[in-house]
Amino acid sequence: MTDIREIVNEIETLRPIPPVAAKILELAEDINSSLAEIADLIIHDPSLTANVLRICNSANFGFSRKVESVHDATTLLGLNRIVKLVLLDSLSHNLSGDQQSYGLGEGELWRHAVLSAHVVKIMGANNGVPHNKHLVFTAALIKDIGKVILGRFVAFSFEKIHILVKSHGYSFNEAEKEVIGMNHEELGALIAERWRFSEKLIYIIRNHHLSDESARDDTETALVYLADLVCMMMGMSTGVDGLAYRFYSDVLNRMSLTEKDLQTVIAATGESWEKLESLLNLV
Amino acid sequence: MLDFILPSASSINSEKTEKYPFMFADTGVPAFIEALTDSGTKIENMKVVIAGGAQVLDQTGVFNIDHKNYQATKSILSAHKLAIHHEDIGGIHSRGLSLNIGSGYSLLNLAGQREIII
Ligand SMILES: [Fe+2]
Repeated sequence: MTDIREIVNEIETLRPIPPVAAKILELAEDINSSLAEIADLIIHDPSLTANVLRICNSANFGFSRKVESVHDATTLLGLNRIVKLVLLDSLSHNLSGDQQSYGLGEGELWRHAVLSAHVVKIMGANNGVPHNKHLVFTAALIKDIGKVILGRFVAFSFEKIHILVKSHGYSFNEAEKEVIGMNHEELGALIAERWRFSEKLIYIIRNHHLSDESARDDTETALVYLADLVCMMMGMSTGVDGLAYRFYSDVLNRMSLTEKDLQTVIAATGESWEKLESLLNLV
Repeated sequence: MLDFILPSASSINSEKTEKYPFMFADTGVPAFIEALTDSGTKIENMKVVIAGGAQVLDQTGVFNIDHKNYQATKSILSAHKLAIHHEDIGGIHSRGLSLNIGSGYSLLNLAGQREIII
């Protein structure tokens, strides 16, 4: 088994999420915060300001006049889209590289992350259960951040992991845990702790494959989990882990969802494919 | 080439399905075959290659939409008297399929694994 300390030390090699992004997320999770407070945070970060303005002025938004200030941008776009832009901007560096060891090419982890976040939004809109939209969007986007580091160790132990999955009925994350001593959810949660994310966000990352049964009752975690499965089924997880994750059907009952609801979410995702492609190209 | 994601237009809660016939096996496959025959292709000259149908680990079968996609495709093809020349179905890995227009060969890419020329 690999020395877990060795894995944890690798966290330092990630480019940390800028403190301002973490602050914005925190504000967005708090229902009492205002748009002005968020704009105030953005203007104190020059590169974030530049990116928000660049993206607002791109043809995709089609605003009739030039957006020249962050204040304008936040009013025009609204809290939802601002949070999304900030997140996409600050996380893309870490996820857009080559994760060769999971068999993922350039940018594929990033594509999967953005697609999951997009699906969780569709799923949330299709489901009557109240939940925190920003929280699930963020969680879907960063749930697999652990793979960025664990990938190197997965590559080293790949044969063993592969045999457990192929011949012994293990899911990929169970095999990671067995062979390496840690799976990508646990490592992702450690990274999120290091980056001082909220307790709830850390919780969702740690439980996003619902290995711990108690997490299945948590609406936000269950939404992130289901959105991930939808992405896998749509062929968006082309890594060596593939679709080797467990589906717990009781999650659907707990969320009062049917197979038809799930297929509806898949169709809605397929419908918005083009829009999503342009979002991916923006960042 | 046709890339669909669901077995049937009737299995979702939406009236908009007519806008996206190619998203579903039951509407997409017949429309695809019709488009081919309309352009002058003869059924007996067609060579069918299908790939996909990977599944998550699911004991209950609720989430095996990909298997349903496969079943739906098979029955539509046989209704059109079309045999499957090559298939690569199931398992836990998604696939990429490309077609070389010049040679007529298909290239099947198994995620993170190998490539096969058909
Ligand atoms: Fe994961």
